[in-house]
Amino acid sequence: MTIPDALQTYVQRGIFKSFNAQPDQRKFDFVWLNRKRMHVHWNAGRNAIVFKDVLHNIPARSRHYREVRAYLKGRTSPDLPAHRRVDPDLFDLVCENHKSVVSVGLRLKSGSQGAAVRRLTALVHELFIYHHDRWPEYMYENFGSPLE
Amino acid sequence: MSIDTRPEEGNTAANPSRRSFLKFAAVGAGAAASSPMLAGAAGAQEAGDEAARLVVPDEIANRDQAPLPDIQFPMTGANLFGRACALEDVKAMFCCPGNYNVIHAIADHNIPSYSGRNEGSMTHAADAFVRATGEIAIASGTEGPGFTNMISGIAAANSCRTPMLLVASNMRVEQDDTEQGIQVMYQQPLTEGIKKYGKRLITPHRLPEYIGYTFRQLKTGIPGPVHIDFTGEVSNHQFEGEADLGHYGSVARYRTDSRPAPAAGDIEAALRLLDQAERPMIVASTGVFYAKAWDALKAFAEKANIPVVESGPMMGKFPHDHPLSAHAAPDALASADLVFLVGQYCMPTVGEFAFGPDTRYVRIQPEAGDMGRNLPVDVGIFSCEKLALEELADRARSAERTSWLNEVDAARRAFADQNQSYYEMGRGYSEAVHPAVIAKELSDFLYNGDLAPEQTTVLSGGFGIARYTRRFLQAHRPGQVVNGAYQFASIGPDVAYAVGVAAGVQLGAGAQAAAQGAPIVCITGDAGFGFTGMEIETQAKYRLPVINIVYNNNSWGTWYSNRDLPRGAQLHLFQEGVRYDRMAEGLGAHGEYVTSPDQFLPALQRAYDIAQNEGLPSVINCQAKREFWIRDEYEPGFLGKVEPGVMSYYH
Ligand SMILES: Cc1ncc(C[n+]2csc(CCOP(=O)(O)OP(=O)(O)O)c2C)c(N)n1
Ligand SMILES: [Mg+2]
Repeated sequence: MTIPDALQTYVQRGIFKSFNAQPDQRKFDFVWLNRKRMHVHWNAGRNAIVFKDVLHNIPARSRHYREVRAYLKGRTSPDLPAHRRVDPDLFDLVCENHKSVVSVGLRLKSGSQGAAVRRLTALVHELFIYHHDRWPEYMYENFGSPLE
Repeated sequence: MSIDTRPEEGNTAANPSRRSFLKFAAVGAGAAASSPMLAGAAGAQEAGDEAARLVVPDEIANRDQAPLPDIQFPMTGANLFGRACALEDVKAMFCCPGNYNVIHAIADHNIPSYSGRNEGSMTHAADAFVRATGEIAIASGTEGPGFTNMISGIAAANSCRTPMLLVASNMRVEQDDTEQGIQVMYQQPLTEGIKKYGKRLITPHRLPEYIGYTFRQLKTGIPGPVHIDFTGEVSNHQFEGEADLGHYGSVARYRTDSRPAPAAGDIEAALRLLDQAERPMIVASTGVFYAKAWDALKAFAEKANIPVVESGPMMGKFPHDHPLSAHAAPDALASADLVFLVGQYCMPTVGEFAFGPDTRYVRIQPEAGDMGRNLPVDVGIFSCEKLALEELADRARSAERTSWLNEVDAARRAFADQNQSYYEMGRGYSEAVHPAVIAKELSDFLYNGDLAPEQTTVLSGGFGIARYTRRFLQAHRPGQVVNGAYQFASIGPDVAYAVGVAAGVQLGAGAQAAAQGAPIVCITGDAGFGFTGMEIETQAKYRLPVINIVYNNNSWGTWYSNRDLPRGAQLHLFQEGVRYDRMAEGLGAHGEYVTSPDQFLPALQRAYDIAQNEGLPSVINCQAKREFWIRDEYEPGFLGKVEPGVMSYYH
């Protein structure tokens, strides 16, 4: 399954809403978590799929960013069950911070495009759950999550 | 299960359970002064004396012995309504004076009746009574301001899908639009969108017909609050005899207890998904409680080895100490590949539950119109939850799922370890009482000490404190924990909710039968206490043994996220050191002021003993500090949530 096809499965199941794909099938955007528009870039040259600019307002030198990186790194741990793990033999985990805006992605090694989309989508979902749990104030300020 | 019971007025604790009996006997034998747990017993005695100075009038204390009037035809509309409520087995009414002929008719028909300090509080009490017991309760208020005070209460009950009956009087139809006298208004437009059904009764002889509408709406489908307003013409109308009622005189002829059964094809489709799934999970929500489907749920879960997590406005539909409970295993949720949402009426949107983006969903509920809202559905089963779960239990194949169950178990242990680490951090802050100390020590007291773990019903309220206490609370039977806030997320109803929960426990109504007479616990914040704290007087006058734990951080919990605003920050603050405990003493309750972590447990023990031995409520005013929410200063700071499960707030 190609990257666009794999993304489409979430559109068909009602998970991604208001989906757009650029004609070259390299850039996609859709409404997903917290009803926010998200941007996915497929860089065929680098063989990388990235949720571009998915978290804002996290300075690179902050404790928050340190913990985000530690959390993501933890998702590659061999202690995790296979269905939850980013397997370093299949994918390299990419986390970039550009002017306090964070992008998260996978560079494909031996993993398939379909598996990369599924793993990355699940990972971004978990990253949000982690934030709801440990960074509620950030979610309130940046994503409009209720504080109750 | 054996739980101590208390006679109606609860001045002595009869038949204590074996586990709680040990402690009860020690206190009863005058061992209090020598017990290290009761080091402050002298203070407690003093406070008890203070409370004893308030006189409970005989009319309240002996209300159950007062004669019942013999009400026969011809009777008023109000009495006809009271009679119908009794025939429909309404279990309690909560009100403030007003709507006089209706509330008196309800009380005269031997329905346990309570009055409190504010109609809004009494609406919350009725809501919580229903959520704790599964039985129907009434909230009543007078026309005009009594009714408008009830609006927050009905809105919260609507989010909870509570089958609560809200009745309010209204002026006479003939006064419509005149502003003659006082309190002339239209009520129904004000509850638009926050009720399941509502009607202004204006045609006197059609009252019996609308009694039918009322109870059909309360007792079928997805429940929700019903709002009926009585104009003077209707409540005073004379009904001459049974003939005036037509077929509405007989419950069995104006409604049915028939329930929708699942279609065979839908069950097959769900079981096909189950056969393909590796990591299925069941979410047991509101509908499991109201359909009393807990046995069927257990049978299905056990047969097919499916972990169960709870959500909804009350907990205990599946016991948390069951090996299949995934209630306190948040990290396992994202692994589930198939989820049965059973009776999940208040539906989360995509991403609000922790289940992953590839998860498939089977939904089971007794109305199809809502199926597929917010979350895509893979198989919808339009059915009574109980009938569907029975069918699934019957037809599901048994399965081992060893590695999945091990994963859930590991998640449970990881969560327990995290909570323990929070407790150790909290215990390290000695200058005030950290919420982790309250949460952990309360939990140990309720579930790991002398009390039978299934004994104590808890109203789990508060805002910041809730984020700690919910992690440690357990439910071992249906309705043992009532989730105070839920989706409407009101700050403030907790003490009023506790009135309703405690009344349900005192009466042993519905799901609370096994806990009859036991003390209950209410958790709230200082801001929350401000809204309904006067209901401590209601708890005291009815001898409702509620231990109210007030997390007093001198502030609204919203201070921490606004603390840097030069003009705005003060809007989130109170005076420091407010003595809610003294206020409670003045209202006839026992008060404790706890200023350091080591004082919490002894204060809890004293409050519990007073609740158990004297039937009196308490307020434990726990002095915290507002800075505890700042994570950089006081790890772990303000906590977030993962839904569903122990941390569930909204859905
Ligand atoms: C009736 C109502 N008013 C206001 C709010 C907005 N609100 C949400 S939490 C909160 C602060 C609650 O303070 P408290 O209960 O003392 O919590 P804590 O200080 O323990 O965090 C407020 C004002 C609300 N949810 N409900
Ligand atoms: Mg507070």
